[in-house]
Amino acid sequence: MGKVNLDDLKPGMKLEKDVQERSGRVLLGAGTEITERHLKIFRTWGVAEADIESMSHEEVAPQLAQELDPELFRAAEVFIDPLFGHTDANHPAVLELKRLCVLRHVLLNKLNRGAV
Amino acid sequence: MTEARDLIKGVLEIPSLPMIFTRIDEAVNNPRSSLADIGRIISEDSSLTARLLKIVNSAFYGFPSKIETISRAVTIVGTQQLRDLALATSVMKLFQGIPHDLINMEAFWKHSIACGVAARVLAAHKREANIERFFVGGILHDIGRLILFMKDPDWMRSALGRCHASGELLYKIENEELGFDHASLGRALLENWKLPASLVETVAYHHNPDAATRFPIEAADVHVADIIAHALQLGSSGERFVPPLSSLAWERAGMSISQLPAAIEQVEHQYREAVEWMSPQEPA
Repeated sequence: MGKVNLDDLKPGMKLEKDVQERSGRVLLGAGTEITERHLKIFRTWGVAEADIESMSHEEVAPQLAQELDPELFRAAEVFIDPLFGHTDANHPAVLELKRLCVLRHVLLNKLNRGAV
Repeated sequence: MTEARDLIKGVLEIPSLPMIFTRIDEAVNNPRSSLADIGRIISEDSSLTARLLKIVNSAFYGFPSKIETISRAVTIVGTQQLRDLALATSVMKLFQGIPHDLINMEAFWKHSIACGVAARVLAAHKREANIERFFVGGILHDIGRLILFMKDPDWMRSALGRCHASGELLYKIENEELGFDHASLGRALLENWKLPASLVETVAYHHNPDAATRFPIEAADVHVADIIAHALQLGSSGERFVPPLSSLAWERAGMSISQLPAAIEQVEHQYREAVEWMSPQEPA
């Protein structure tokens, strides 16, 4: 159980707590199983995360990464690592920022290749 | 060794803030002036009016219907907010004559915009009042570096070379060789311009946010925003690396790790928008 990022939410996951929009209005009640349509609604309302039953950020985050070519990730890391050379590699925010940068880099590269 | 203040003082080429901004600022701070007065002052400057209307009609605000006039913008967006947006858009037109081979001005402002947008997103998540002051803090955070580029291009050229060769952080080299960095230069310039203390402190402490005493939240936000802008490699300020993160500032910025992906997406979205309407090449 725990908070899961919007991007890592998948249909079929079950909500542990209510999902609210920023003003506090409940969009979806605890116990509901998430569907594609719910994810679209979350995106529209700027929901960043949801509490999911028996899943943590660490368990879920690697799923998306696994769907992409690991070679692309290694290439992106070679590029991104030096950029973060002066930061504390153990700080959770730095780790997450770096993960996002690598992912962003991989996706951008993939897009560029697709365009050629 | 020169002091940051001396580099600002007695320097005729350091641009002053446009009169229009000073007048808007005075009107906003004057309890006797009405919304209509403030709207009238802004309307006298047609290019500023056009830029402000573009901003308030952009996805930054996402109002359902179009805001056609400044008087309406003043009512809906707020006077302080418009004043801050006016400052953000005017300041980009001020710096000219910096050697092109040394810095690409477009890239410089893009970095500033990215930092401003990120600071704004962080502030919005915390539901701060008037998030535009965070935006303008981000826009101004590296302005001291423009003074260095302008006043001492030869030194800058050698400092950039040293960074490239050694992999050191540029602001540390500034401190080591000059005895001050672009953040203290920015402070001196903003004090010279008589801008509010919150902005002065934000800029002064963006690399050392834990030392900010009066406005620690503002300094922390822009500190974290600068790191996000560097990480996303949006634009360039001359610094090649992501600066070190203060963990206290991260706490103060008030964002949880799980909110970061959505926030980054928001930053990229608003950045693309802002780059368009902040473009300094717009006809004056």
